[in-house]
Amino acid sequence: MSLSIPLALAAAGIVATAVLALREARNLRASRSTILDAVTALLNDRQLAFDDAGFPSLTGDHQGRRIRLELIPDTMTIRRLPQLWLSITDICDLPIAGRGVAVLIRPSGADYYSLTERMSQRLDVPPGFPWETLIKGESAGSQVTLDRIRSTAARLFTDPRLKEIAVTARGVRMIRQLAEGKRGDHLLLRQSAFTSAQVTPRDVTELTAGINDLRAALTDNRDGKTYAS
Amino acid sequence: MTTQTTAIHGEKVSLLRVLGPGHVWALGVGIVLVGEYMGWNFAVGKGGAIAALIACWFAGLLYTCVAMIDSEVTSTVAAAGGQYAQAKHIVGPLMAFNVGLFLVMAYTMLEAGNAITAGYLVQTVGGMAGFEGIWDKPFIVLTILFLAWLNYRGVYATLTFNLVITAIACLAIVVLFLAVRPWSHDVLDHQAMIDGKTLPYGWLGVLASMHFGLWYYLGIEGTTQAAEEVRSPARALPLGTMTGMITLLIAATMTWYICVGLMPWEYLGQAITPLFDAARLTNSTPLMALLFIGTIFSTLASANGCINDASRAWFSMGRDRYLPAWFGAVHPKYRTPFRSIVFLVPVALIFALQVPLDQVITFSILSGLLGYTFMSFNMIMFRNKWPLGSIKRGYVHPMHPLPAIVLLLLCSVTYFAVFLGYGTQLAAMMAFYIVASAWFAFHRYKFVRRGDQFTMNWPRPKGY
Repeated sequence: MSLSIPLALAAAGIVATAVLALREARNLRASRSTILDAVTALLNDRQLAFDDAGFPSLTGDHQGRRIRLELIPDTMTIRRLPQLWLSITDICDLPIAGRGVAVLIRPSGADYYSLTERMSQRLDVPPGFPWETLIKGESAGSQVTLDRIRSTAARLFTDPRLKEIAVTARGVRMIRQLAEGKRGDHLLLRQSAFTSAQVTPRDVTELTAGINDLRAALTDNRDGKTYAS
Repeated sequence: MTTQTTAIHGEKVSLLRVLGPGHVWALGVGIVLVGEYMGWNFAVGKGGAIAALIACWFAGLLYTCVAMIDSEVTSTVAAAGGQYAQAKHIVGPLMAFNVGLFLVMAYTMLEAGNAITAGYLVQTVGGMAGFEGIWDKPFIVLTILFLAWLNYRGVYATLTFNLVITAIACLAIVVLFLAVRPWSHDVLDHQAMIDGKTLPYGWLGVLASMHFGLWYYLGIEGTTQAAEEVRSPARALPLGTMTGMITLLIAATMTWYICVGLMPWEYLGQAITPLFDAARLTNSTPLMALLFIGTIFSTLASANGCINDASRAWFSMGRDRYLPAWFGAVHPKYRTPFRSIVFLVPVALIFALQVPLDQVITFSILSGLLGYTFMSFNMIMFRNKWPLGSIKRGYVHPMHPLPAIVLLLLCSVTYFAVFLGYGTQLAAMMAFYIVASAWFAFHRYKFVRRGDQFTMNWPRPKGY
């Protein structure tokens, strides 16, 4: 039986598939590149960069602080939809060398972006935190840092999208869920489709307010001594 | 898109896409579609056509238990990480190590099976087109390497548009069913094909068929576990999975009806691509093209998912120090578990190139079966350690412990079924897991950071 026509159709199908794949890849990169567009103007002296997958990162001055916004695609946990995390870092020197602390919610063991990965000291979860919480510090002295930010962090974690709070000598970082991969694309083909993901000025306002509260908690001298002492 | 409150591990999150039972159902069917295109028909070879149908329905009962049990544990907490995370928290490190291996082996063997089928199909179609010298092995290698490369690249690569083609693969079965006019005997002739051998090996053959009966549904439990988006786990997870099961039962029966009416059971019992062969027997070129597309894309989609999941399971074991931590590395640019992906490629290639399809499928089914056996014990331990009321549950499955007991019973029957036809493979697989467990217990366990195992801050279990 001659299959020349079906074979020709199959060949055409392969070519069409390749063209579609390339076009979609271009469209995907284009859509990713605009995720931070709505907040670019909020930052002065800004530097906008793109990784090879098209995800942007932005560093600049906001309300007198140097901040960095990054996007972290996360597909590492089996049986969970892909996540797109928004990381915001207040780049500043804090007098807590060796006493940094990171608080991670719903850890899966595959949270490669988390600072808990790089910290060795596991700290007890204080009351008021979500029950699926992992807290790690750089040393036993990290407990002091945790005590300082405890109530503020517990309040911030009432937002279930918040994934991590980290405080180190190099600054304060918060990671929050920005988008979740489409279920169909993931289940059928393990694709990460973060359609219509956008960082809004409100996101930045909320997160920077949280960071300000954490810094205030660190520098609060209500007990009569400064934190650095 | 509707915005509405949704759940993250039982917590409330807004602004996410709403997903109802219908979505879960459709996607659950999509995941296991490949089971209709290849593999199931080996059950016919084990016990005849009628035995395969009975086995298919009994396997449906097994998966119903799986779906009920898994929905409860998943809706509670341990959604992310699947059975591996459940084993860590409910049973212990040795069980978790084994469950991780079950997952890796089940997925890697399935990946190899998919590649064999895709390669065979290309060879067959090439031969039909006059290219007699075409060989399947290069296509098998190409399939595995290409999909591994896609996975290595992670979010850089995209296959999203293929969702439509996967939907076509679903529709292809329905079109074929209608095309053979099942309401008449114009095309189908079941009497002639079965040739009076209703149960050629008697009821023992029915038992033996249970082995490949699982193939129709292997992976349906994944529907209950793609966490963090479901609007109402208590309703959507069990309902979606159960309706998916019913749909699969109907689709499996349709597939069976078409193939058994077109092919002698002796041939069907060892065919590599039964649905494509059925299309060939209709002498319709468009149908052949449709089923060719369906088979190719269902196998490729399945293999792609297998590489993704196997590498993530291997990666997680590396992170937990169950395996050398070297495997727990994330690619700095692509953000993928690149070492795990690369490491598993030769494993898949060895099996795809050296082992016949029925044995590869047997290895995959056995690993899956071990996982289901674990689930029955796991459920009983879960209820004993954290009784109702002691921990937040999104869904409580009814009639406990009956589903766990039925599941255990059906698993035992299936082990016996595997023993009847593939005793050597069963012994080899068990020996592999015993040796691996001994290696873990006596050597590897000292590297495990025990305190870091329990990522979820569960209350102390009852009695501890």
